[in-house]
Amino acid sequence: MKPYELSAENLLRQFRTCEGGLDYGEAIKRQEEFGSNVIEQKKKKNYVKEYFKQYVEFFPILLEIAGILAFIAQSYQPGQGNDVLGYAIFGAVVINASFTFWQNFKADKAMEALLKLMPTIVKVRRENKTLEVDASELVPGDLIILEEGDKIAADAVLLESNELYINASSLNGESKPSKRSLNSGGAKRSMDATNMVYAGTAVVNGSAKAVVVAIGMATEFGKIATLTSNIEKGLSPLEKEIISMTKILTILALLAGVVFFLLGYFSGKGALIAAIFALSLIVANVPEGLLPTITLSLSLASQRMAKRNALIKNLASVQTLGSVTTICTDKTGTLTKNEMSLKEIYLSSGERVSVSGGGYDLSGEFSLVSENERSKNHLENLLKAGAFNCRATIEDGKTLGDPTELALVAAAKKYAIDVKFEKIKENPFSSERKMMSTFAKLGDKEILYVKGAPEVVFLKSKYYQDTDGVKEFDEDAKAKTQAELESFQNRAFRVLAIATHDKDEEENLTLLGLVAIMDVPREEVKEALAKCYTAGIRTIMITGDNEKTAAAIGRSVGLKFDGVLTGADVAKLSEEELQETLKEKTYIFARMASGQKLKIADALQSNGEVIAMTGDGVNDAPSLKKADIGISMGSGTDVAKEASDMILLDDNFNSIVSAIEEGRTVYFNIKKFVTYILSSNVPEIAPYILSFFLKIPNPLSVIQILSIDLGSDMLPGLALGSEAPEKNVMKRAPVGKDEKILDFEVFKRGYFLIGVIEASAAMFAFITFLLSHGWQYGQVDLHDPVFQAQAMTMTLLGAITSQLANAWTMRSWDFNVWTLRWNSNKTLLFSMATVFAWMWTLLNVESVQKVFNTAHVPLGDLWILIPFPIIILVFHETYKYFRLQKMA
Amino acid sequence: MRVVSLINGSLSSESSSIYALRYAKKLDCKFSLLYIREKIHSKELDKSFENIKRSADYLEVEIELLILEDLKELKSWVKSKDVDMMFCSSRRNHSIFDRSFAQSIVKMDMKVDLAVVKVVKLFRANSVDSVILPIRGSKLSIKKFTLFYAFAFAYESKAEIYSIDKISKRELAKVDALQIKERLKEVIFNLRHYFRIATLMGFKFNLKHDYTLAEGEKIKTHIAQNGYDLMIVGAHYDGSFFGSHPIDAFFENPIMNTIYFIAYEEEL
Repeated sequence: MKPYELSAENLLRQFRTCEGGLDYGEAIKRQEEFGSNVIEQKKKKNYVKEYFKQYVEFFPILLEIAGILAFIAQSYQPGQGNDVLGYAIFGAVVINASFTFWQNFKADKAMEALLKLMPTIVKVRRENKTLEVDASELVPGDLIILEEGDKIAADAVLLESNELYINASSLNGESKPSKRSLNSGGAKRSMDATNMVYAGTAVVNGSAKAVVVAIGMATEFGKIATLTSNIEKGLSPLEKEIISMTKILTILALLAGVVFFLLGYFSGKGALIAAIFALSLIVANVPEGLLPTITLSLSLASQRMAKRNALIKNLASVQTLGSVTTICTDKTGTLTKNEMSLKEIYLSSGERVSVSGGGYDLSGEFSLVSENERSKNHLENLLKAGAFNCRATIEDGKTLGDPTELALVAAAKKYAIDVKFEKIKENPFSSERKMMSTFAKLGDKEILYVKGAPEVVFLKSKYYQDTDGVKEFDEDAKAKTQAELESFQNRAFRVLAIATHDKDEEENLTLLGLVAIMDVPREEVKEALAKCYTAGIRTIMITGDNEKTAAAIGRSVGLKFDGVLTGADVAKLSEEELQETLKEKTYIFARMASGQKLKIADALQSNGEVIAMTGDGVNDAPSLKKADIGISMGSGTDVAKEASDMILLDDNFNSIVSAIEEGRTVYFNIKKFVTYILSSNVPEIAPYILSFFLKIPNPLSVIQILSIDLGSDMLPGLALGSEAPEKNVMKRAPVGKDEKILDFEVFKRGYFLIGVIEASAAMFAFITFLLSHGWQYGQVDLHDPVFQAQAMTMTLLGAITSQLANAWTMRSWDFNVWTLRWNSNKTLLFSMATVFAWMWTLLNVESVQKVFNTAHVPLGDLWILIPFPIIILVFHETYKYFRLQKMA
Repeated sequence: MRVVSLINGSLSSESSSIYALRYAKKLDCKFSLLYIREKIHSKELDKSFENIKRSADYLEVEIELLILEDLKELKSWVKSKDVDMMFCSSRRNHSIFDRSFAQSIVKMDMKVDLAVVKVVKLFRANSVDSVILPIRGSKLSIKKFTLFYAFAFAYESKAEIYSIDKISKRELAKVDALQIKERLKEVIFNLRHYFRIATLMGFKFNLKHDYTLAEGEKIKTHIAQNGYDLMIVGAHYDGSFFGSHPIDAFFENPIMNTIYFIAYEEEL
């Protein structure tokens, strides 16, 4: 027998305790035997260690070697600016490491929030005395004393109970207080035993005495803690992308470095020169600014999302949103307003009344078929009976009380009923009675108003109000009313029966009718769902409500589903069967028990889906952590918020869809600026290669390359990251797992199309400048440092101006850039202005010229820079046009 | 063949003895309760013995209560009494300087299979609905399987072998559904003999496989998610106190009753 199945006497005997509690010696012995009553926390990460780990990854090591080589080169060839290069590379390493650390290693505070639910001090019986002890000292067999407001520290079986109600929402998500009794209610699991109280829950009413049967991690709360702290989350799509991108680009850079080192060495240039050259190529190829640009771009996106009520906690989640294939959403508050609204009324005389308007909005109309005075009076009496028999209030738009009662008050106010009356007595609602009544004085009359579950009120009704007076509630009348009740229930309404009496007695009532109440769907959900379907995202509703209500709400908001599965159905399915079930078809999940969300998340992820999962309760924390994107509600618990990646400030489904749109936009924006960043590699590499094989002076220095990578490319790159969504972003399928940012298209556009034009632009500027100032082919040493610096400046400006045109045309990946408003991306305009200012500085400020080997170039020579940006614009726009045609 | 359960009057040793009793009943072995006088908590011992006796009577198993004066006598006693399996519970709080009784037993290197039982949920030994046996990849000895099988069979409970492979975060990121299926197939193939034995004996068990970053945490998560009643973990005599011993890793904060099985390795 399990502890909750034992009688009080047996329980005490088995746990070797008594009414007076354990003695001190036994308590200490049991502490040694069973340990302390504490929830295990994972060892905190050593953040210093984690930070320094960032320096020993593949990419940083490569840069560090490059930096060291630069300093070695400086000692052999001083005055070439290699020291500046070394510092710049190490600067990039520090920036990259810091950004990666910032992104990856945020403190996980979900456990801290969870632990706040546990008490620190508990009242316990030991050696016939009631003591207050540290909660960690509780042992199995201890007798705990529970009173209203107490947090419970361990799982315990009740010995005595006085109207005990506990709030077990942390374990089962049920916000209504749960009544405890002295029998287990035939439970098969300890979680279902009504004679048990649990660690992490709280007493909301009454008092009790209980025997501790499980402590610490062995409690039900310990299970939630285990799931919350141990859920393994794989790398986000962006993290995978960054690893993949870094690997590809690093291999390319290394390959280029090795090839050109060997070429240089065997062509007799000497090992040192060949090594410096190879190093320059590696530096030119490695996109030092990529990671900071991605991180900043994600930060900007998260700021935009915050304005749309989606607060991002984990930056990488922004891009993950773009890959979401399935949204698993709650019903109440997310798809619906969590505002109950009275939609239909059945008057016991046989008339049906529809009520327009929704929620607690006081505007709306009553469509009464027969407009006679008797029917109007009947309706008024029913609405009065509903509104007077309530504790809820609506004053100046402010609501207070139970949502169902608020619906009754709102309906009465809609009908302009003055709700002033004198309350004489109230018989409160209880789950046993399933009804509530209020005895009131209205004018000089005393009336009892009753509302409750129809089956209970029917039993207590002897009469019913008909059009022409009060009649006996006989079998015929009952059958008719029952049929109406079933019709409402089939349409997922919550139905209450309303009755009256002229005495304070809950018997022989006069039935006035039935009211049908529903949680109103949010108006914007229909559109948001339609957007999801166009975007290839399926939506699964997971709710604790019954099947009928779930299906009715699903249909009313336009949810596409193949059927409804209940928690019991899910429990019967193995993991593999659930995976198979969810492969092709979409279901609504109703009457779901705590923990089943995690099973669904597991099944969907095993099917290769990227899932966004909503939740607000403590028990939702594991599934929020497990999901690719855990979404908590602004109105939810702290534990859920800490466990999630995104918080919905307005609890609204529409905000999830907006966030997904933003996520997809970020994905394509990253693609745009990666292409943009890669493009500039070609004009950085080409001059080197050409100077190696042709008899021309050196067109570009390493420090100038760095000035592009970490300087002039950065702001426009960032600005591309904040480009508005493209018009087709929610008309395509989610970004697939196999869809890479760094795909062939990116390489093609970046390296082979725009990159080649940019390289031509840089070399055209360099050679044309040299030729126009009397240089002849074969003259490798210019002998004039200023002339050399001017020529190099032209190469640099050739690359920078081409990149400006590239940034402009890259604003749209698929569509003509001129279809966008010219000033829609103000960050880009600002960044372009900054780059122009930078170019002016390179040309005119001596201190800057010294660092970057540049010199003033007469205005008359700058015309050379004009043609190629135009060529890039025309070429890329034409390319996009034909690509779009081909795709269409 | 004899199954012996060490008792000291504690609630844990009482639960541990019930497991031992079930095991002995299933394998039709003699069953003895043994207490070492130096460790005795006499007041509680009688209550404990009474409770175990009640269970033994219910299961129709004869029990005998044996007494040893000193722990040092245990090794020779085990040798002389043809002991097949010894059960012993372990307390939670122990350290290098305060070795638990179970740790002392493990260190004695006796010619007997040892089942060290860690009890965190009391009075669950009489009804076990599901047993889980976590293994690394497809590493499973016939001895461990036999113990697992005996318990699953004794309680007529659901049984699952949970195979896990530890991999890095990057490797985990690359794992796809196909790879998981292929690995599961591979593990099934490697364990095919156990499936055959099970089929021959009319016994069914599930096999589940997962990749993980941290074995202990993954097992705990799996258990918390699926709610097993008993876990059987394999280990060796040569474990140390400094972290490499699975008993320490799993017993630090268990969430369910666990039997830590140390099979005696005969020198062939």
